[in-house]
Amino acid sequence: MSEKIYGFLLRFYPPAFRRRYGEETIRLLRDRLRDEPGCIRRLRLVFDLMVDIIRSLPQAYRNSYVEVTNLNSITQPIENVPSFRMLHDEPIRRGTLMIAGVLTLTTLIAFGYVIELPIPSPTVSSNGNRSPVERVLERLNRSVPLDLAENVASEPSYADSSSASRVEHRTISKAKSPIPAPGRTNSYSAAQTIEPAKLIPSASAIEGGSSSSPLLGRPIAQQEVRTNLNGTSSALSSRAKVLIVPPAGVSGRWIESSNTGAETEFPGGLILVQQDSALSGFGPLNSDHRCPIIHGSVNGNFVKFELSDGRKSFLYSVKLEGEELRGTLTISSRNETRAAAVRLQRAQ
Amino acid sequence: MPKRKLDPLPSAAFQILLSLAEENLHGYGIMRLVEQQTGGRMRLGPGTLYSSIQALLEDGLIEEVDQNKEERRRYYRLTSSGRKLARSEAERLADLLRVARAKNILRGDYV
Repeated sequence: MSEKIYGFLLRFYPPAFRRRYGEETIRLLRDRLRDEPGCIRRLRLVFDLMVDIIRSLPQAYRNSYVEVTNLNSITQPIENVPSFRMLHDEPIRRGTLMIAGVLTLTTLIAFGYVIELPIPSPTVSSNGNRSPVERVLERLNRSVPLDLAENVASEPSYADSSSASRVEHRTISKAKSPIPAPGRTNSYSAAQTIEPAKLIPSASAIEGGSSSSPLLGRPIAQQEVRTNLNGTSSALSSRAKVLIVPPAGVSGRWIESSNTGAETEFPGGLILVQQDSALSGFGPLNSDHRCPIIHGSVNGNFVKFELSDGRKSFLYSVKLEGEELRGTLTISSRNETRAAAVRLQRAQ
Repeated sequence: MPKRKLDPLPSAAFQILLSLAEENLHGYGIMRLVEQQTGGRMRLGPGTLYSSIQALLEDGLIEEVDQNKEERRRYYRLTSSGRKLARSEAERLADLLRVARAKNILRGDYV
């Protein structure tokens, strides 16, 4: 194959390829013609070139032929002039990832430790007065917000409120504020914990402090919060009663009483654990094979729960009356279902 | 990370990388060395040779070297990326060889 024929065949290649490598391919062909004399070798060379053209055309068209510059010559740093270095395209090493992970964890731990520290601030400045910023910092550093105590103390008494059957109310427990507000005498003027809102009966139903709540059936404790506004001890003093409603609690150990005439199914007693309206636990206590309570619920004073030992199921449907749970026990087995009165007493 | 054009690495490109492992060569020198190192089984034609060289240049696996300007030939050398790629490809082929030997496909003639 002469150089002219091969030069003609080069027209099938992209123009960029011809411009860049046309001369070199002709030179290479010339070298091969020189180094491979003889008829058989020439025939093999022609065959190689034909196959080579067919094989290499797709690759020649895939290349972009952008001007590839020598990166080393570009990245040679000029003296006293800052420059960027081109990094080769390679994956991140495992050691680098490990160091990055350790550094990240260390930073997070240090940050968590720092934010737990109190904000440093002098309590009183040199002239004896706190600046507004210092007051804010003092409140932030204090665990008890003073505003909350003030708001609770100024709430009206629920004993004097209207006769509505149900009043939504916040239950507040007592705690002393570490620092009284300026200009106020602080007898009980603090409250710290606000529990979720509960429904309590009307004021007339709970007046006297020892009556039972129709909803919960347990005595309602009362607590007085006395505030004395603006330092005038008698004229402006107001008296507020804050009612603390204990949650309906059936949690504890309950022993089945046998004087109702019914058969005592769990003589060792039951353990009830109440979480809001959900009830769990197990029984009996004096047996190695304890049955978990299933489908337990507390709705007001009414308590329902079920135990099963595999052969029988015991469905308790009882009502909380003081320190007792009274109601019916339905025992179901394969053959029969029977009900009996049951009384559970809270173990002391 | 952008995908390389030479992924997977064609055998012609791998042979070119191997031929440049020890010295800088021009196109015809590469072709001769490839023929030599494959025992004459692979004879790179001009189209395959320069298309592969262009692809290797664009991927930064080889680079041109300024040589004697009177000779009017372009010389090429291996970059560090090209050397790493050649090493990883050789390791891959060595793994294949190990598997083939373990499955008694290869006899003891091969190293």
